[in-house]
Amino acid sequence: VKRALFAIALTVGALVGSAPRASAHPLGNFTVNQFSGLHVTPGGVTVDLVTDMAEIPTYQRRSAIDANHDGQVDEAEASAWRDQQCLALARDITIEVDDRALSPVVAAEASLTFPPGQGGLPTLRLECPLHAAAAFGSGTHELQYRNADFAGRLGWREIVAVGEGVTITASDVPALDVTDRLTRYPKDLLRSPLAQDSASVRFEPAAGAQPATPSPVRAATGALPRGVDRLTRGFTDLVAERHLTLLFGLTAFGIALALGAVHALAPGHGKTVMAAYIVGERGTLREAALIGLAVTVTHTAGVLTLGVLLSTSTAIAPERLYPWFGLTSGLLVVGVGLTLIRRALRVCRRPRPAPYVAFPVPEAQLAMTGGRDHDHPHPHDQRHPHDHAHAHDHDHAHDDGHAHAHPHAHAHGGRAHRHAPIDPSLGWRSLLAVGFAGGLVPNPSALVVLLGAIALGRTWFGLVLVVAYGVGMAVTLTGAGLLLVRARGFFDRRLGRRTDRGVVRFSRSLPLLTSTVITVAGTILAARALAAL
Amino acid sequence: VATAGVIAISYVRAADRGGTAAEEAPGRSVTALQVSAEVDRRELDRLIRAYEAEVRTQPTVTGLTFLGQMYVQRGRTTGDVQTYLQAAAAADQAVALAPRDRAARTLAAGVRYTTHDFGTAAMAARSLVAEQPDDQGALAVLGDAQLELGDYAGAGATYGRLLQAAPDAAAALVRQARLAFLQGRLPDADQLAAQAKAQALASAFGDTGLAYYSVFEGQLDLDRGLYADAAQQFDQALGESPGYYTAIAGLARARAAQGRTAEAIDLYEQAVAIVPQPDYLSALGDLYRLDGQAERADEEYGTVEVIAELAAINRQVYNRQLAMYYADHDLRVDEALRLTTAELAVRKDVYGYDAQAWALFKNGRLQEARAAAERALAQGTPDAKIWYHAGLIDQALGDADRARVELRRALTISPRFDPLQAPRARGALAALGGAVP
Repeated sequence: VKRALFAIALTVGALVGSAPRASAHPLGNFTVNQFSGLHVTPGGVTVDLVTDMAEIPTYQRRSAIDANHDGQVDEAEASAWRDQQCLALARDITIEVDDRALSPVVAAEASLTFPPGQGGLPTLRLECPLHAAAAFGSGTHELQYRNADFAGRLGWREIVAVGEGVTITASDVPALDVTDRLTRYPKDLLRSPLAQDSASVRFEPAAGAQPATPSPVRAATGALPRGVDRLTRGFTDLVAERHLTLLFGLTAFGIALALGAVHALAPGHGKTVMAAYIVGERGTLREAALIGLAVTVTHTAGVLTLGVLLSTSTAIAPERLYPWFGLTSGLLVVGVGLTLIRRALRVCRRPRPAPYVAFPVPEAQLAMTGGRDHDHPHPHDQRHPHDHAHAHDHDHAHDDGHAHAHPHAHAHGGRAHRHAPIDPSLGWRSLLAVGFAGGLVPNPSALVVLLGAIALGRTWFGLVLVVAYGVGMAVTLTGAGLLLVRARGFFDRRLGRRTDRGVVRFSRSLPLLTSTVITVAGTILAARALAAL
Repeated sequence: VATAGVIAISYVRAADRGGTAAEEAPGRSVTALQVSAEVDRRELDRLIRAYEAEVRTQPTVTGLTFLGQMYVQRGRTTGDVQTYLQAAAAADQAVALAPRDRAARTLAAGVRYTTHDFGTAAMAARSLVAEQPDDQGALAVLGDAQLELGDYAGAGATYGRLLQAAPDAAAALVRQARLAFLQGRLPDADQLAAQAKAQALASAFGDTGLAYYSVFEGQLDLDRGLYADAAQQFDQALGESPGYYTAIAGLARARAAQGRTAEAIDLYEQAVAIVPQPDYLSALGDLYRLDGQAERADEEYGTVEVIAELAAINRQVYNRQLAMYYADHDLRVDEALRLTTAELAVRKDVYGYDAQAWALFKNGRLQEARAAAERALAQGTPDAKIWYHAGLIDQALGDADRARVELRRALTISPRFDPLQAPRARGALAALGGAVP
């Protein structure tokens, strides 16, 4: 499998490499850029070591590569040089696991290409697949990686780490590369090149292995919780499309919309809560629409926030954030449920004019998985007083504070209802809380699309797709709400004429039943999240 | 952010005739906080990243200006032209946000200077000085730009005002020293340079700040043939700031003059690995050639040609270095003349006329060459190469007396000013029947 992966990686690299270079090197013509893609498996550590030399260093190596000085690099010369060069590069790479040094060897055939650079001059791209074999038993392992090659040379130095068959529990490098393995560099002048020379990664062998693939979008997928289905894969592939035309953009928008709509049918979007609420509490169409809107806005905002955090900081592991989102969401739902129970109990003691009928509540499962030990990740150290990047941390903390504060706000809303117990609707705050709970857990595929777009330098396209995705979700959720309201109206009319005491009693206890369902669903949600923490 | 406004960075040109943006030296504003002292390169990189993130989400004038100043500071140690382009982008954004902001405008003017747009730099600095006559940052940029444009009287006046506004400041003194050297007042230059370094030490400049003053003194020594003293200064600079490529190249030049070719080659290789500048590569090629390693020499020369090609595409700032390379090696002399002529159109300083004279000479236009050489010598700059060029021109014109004087002057100033050219100067002097010093 590893060899196959390398073959794919090399083929992709060769294809990209032979295409004309779209952007110049980030630091001018004399840079040596390096990328280390760490791939941690139970059987060792693989390094996808890519060296991208700009025109001048390439020229300087010309005579070393062209051994017979005929101005051409033939296969024998290329092969001799790349083998010798990969060996030399491997020597200056240190891989230590649990303080034990592993020795990386060249694991497969290296690739050497000369993509044309400025002025028709060749640049050089060398890909060395290195592998350091080991057998990692169960328990937590510490990986230290250092790359001392071309130290002191100007250039982009990037390291990413993904796990296959292991769970990466902490890492100071991202899982996602921003240069697509040094094939495209961000053009923003006010963005300095990465200078990652080392990485520390903590991992533990996992029960369920996840396939990892070389593309950045795929890499992000691997790092995110939940499996990625075929539909989602299609979605994430949208963003990687190389040629962006208006027609393609519109099509992508439509597809994102449809996928969002379909996705909202999957478990875990507050539909349980919303359905129970509307059935039990005589919610109106407007309220259903409000909840749908809240879900969408929250979801989109969540994806954006997480996307920005992930793309600006390497210290955040998304799989460790998910349980917290889940817990917050669960607690919110429990809060809403408890409020509804209290109200239902009060209302039940009074005679009620109109009978209700049961409506099947479809789902109570909100799947969530995640990593284990959670320590608060801090993207920037705090030593320097002028470090204004802290603004991000504050933003983040603020968001969290909001999420946790909501149950209180909600409880407050509930208390307000004590003074108006007959009012059949919850306050708008509770409605928002329901929607908030439903949309709080960002959809990984939407997140992957955004991150992929950022990685490819198409942040705006990613944003548009994410918003389209959210709109799709809103359409489904509001549509479901509409159906529920209509259906309930229908049953109300038909059963309203009946005077069967059983039906009446059942109807009267329905709010209690549905609010209990909500509370239980919330508890399950919170419990699962807690277990994952 | 409050500190950002206070930290002003001034722009002293290295007293090196190479004249690339990569060589800009770190003088710092006399009002500067000593923040940079403890800010080592990693810290600088970290700050740059933090501010990049900051201005991406919230572009403010102070944030952008500080970021631009840090880019300039980084560019000095890395010699990376791209970093100056980053500085230019930050400065332009800051000025666009607040067209009247003095710190942003000073930065923008300084950045124009580093990218060799001396006319624009002078104009921008002049308007800043007109608004506030004792603005040290603006005065520094203005004087430096005037110097590059060949306005020595103007530069002298501006530096005088700078020294008045900031007496005993290292950044002001070192500028005066450089002007004194260019005008042939060597004792003044020595004294001012030593004073500048003492002040820099006293104010506890760290990093390349202090190293810069050592390099400046080293270059003064080197130009006067005091190779051992020069080497010592460069060594000191490297002790203060390891990997400071200007110091490495200076040490290489000193070792080459001392005849320690193997060391010189090794040092040039180090410098070239950091910043492959045409003048370093050319000097390295010369040393290989003298060492009998023709293949290696050709490799270095070939790299210069590659850089020439790329520089033309990127409109980079190596014109003068490339012209000297072509003329020194009798390659593409017409291209050399084209480059020097274009350069002289804006940059009428001593070295601009010298390069023009040398290129004209190589193209056989002797009368014009002599006129240019006279202008190069007009300030009395004690630089061996200028006298050597003038000597060869007068020799070709048949003015043996003048040629003898000039060549002897060159070899008196610095007997081994260049591994390749100094022996030629000796040969020419001997051919003219002059006593070789």
